[in-house]
Amino acid sequence: MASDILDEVNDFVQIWWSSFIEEGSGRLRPAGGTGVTDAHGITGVDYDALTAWAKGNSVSTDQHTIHDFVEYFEMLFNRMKEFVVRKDVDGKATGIAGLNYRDFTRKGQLVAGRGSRKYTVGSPTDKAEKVEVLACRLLGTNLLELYSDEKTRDLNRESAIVKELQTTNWECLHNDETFIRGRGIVNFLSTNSKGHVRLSESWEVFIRDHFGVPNGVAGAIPGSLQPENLLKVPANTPKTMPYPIHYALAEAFAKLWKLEMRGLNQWGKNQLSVRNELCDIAHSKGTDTISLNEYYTVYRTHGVLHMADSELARSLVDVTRPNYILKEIHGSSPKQWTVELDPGLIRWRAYHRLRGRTRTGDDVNGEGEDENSTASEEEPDV
Amino acid sequence: MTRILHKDYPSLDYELWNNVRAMRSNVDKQMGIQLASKDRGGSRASELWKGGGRFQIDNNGAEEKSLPMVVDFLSLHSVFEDINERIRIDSDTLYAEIQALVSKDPKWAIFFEGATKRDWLTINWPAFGRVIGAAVSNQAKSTVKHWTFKGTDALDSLRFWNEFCNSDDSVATGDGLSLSLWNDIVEFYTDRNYDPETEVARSLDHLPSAPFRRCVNTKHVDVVMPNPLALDFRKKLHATFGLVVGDENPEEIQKSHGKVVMEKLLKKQIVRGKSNHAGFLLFIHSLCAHHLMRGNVAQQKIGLHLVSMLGIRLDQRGVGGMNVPDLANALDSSFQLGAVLRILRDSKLVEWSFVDHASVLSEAKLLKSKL
Repeated sequence: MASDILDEVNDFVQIWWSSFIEEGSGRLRPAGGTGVTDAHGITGVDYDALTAWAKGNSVSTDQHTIHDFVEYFEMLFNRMKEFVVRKDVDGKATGIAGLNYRDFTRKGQLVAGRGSRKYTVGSPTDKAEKVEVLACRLLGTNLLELYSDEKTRDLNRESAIVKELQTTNWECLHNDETFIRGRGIVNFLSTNSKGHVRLSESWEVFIRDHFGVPNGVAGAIPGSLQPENLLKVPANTPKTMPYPIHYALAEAFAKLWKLEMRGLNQWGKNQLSVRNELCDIAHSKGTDTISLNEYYTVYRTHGVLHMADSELARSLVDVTRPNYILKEIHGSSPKQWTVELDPGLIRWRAYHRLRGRTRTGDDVNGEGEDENSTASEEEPDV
Repeated sequence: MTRILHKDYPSLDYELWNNVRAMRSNVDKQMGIQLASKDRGGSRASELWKGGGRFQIDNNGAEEKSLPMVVDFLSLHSVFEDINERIRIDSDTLYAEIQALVSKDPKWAIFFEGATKRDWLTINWPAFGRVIGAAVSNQAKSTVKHWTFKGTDALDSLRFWNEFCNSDDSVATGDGLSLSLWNDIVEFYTDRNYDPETEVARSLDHLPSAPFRRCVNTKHVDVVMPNPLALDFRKKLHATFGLVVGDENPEEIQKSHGKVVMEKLLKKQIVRGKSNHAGFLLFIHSLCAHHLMRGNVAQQKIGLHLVSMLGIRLDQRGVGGMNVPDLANALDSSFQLGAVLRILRDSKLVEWSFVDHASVLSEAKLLKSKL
């Protein structure tokens, strides 16, 4: 299952860069979506594939478990958004677009200030570990940059960290405390008073598409975050990219962290397996709809029948989750229902097939788990 | 046989309930006590919740082997079905009644800005399930002695609200807590393995039942604002205990917290809710908003899934009740389900009934044969 989650992260990176970079020229696409073309003739980002990925990997029901990763990512995201707003309002980039060491400590100390049963004085805390994992995962995929002061990118340190991650196959991050203490990104931040980390430029395009003016608004620049331009957007105009994809990515990193550094291998397991199987049933019938009985059966065979109803209910109120539309079959007797699966979820699974990954989970017991299954003591994360 | 409905056709639950509901007899208080004390093992292992049914019992708990076997059913109190029906035919008036209640104080408007009609009319079943789970686990230990696990969810929740409300006068006045003071509290609690920031995230999902929200108050200060409904519930809780806010001792309150929530506050509101749907929905939101969830496994296994399955199936498909053997199988809880059902029954949150096993089975078979 580690590889399944890693596959999902790798898929994200692959889809992200193929969506944001125009293959022929290697240029970053402009904000505003597919209807926009810049001076170089390059069109905006097509978010279909990323949206599908977000549906398949949308956040778990129990957000307590992933909260730190989401919060840190959101801090990075918001800091960049503030930077983009300043850029649009002032007409030039001012201030930093990232977070320094002190910013990260607002969510709790990264180094233990006093001894306890858990930590010795000066040892990295759980929070430091999470910051390190999040930042390294982003840096290793060109989604983050290190700056030694306001404007100077520290390419040497970036290369050194990425090289160590690659040569040790990421083991330095998971099994070597000296990396966090002395060579990683937390150490870089703690030893550089002006040092900071920021999301890479492609995120600026995403932020513009997520918060900014959509294409087609009269008198406004697509992607602009200037308040005057935003005021011109009529109410209920769809955003260019409505999904906060960074939440799902943060969760994928959280799962990897739990798996690789805490050895909790049930994390994220059922979520992917259940969604895979729902899509596979629909695919086998050449449709996007399954019966409610099939829907329940998939949850039952994965030992999480008690979560099936919650998932149906939550999909109605949370746009980031796959949308399951429950429909009564008119005239059915006894009364029966179907569940229409989110088109994004179907596309996400189709992408797996395209890449030769058609396995449905690790734990599927085709006969149903019935009386012999043992439920985990932890809340399953579907 | 462990199930009533065939494992591949669980959605026959709607028709099964409709076909047997007229045949049911209620489990009364004494019977509930006897069944709870007879229940052994986890929900799947118990002899009481098998697909083959259970023996009927007399008032002393003795099995009546000469009588037909029976199957237990659970349904939420009829007030929930009434509210669903009201929403179906008259949601605008119900929403207007809720708006009239929550627009009393302009400060409330800041917290609830962006809450939709749907938010107000929807019960956050997972949150409500956790509230019930925490209260039941507390009551089963403290007052009815069904198990030794007492759970600290209520205590943690009470401690945090105390700390939060006492840290600045502006909290009580509805102006929220400045971010710097909030960060101090967060730091204190995160050092103790509890991150209050996670509670702020709940406002993204469902505002009426979220405990806190980050916003700008009437004085244009960035604050973390408590849900006014949660503060309202806090007052109710203190009044029920006969305590003055600020004088309380969380440890003392915790001893009977579950019983007070289930048997005094919830039970009273359920009875009143029949004639005051808007007030009842607000009460449920306030109960959820006051409960700070720590993801404790016990409250999930005891209450979350049981209550949320009943609630969501009622909301989405109109399923009025579920048979207990199938429910017990799905829950796979290691807690004695009988003890949980007894407490839920006594609080009026659920109606616990039983139906002749042969009739239930024949209905289930008939339904399956029609597919």
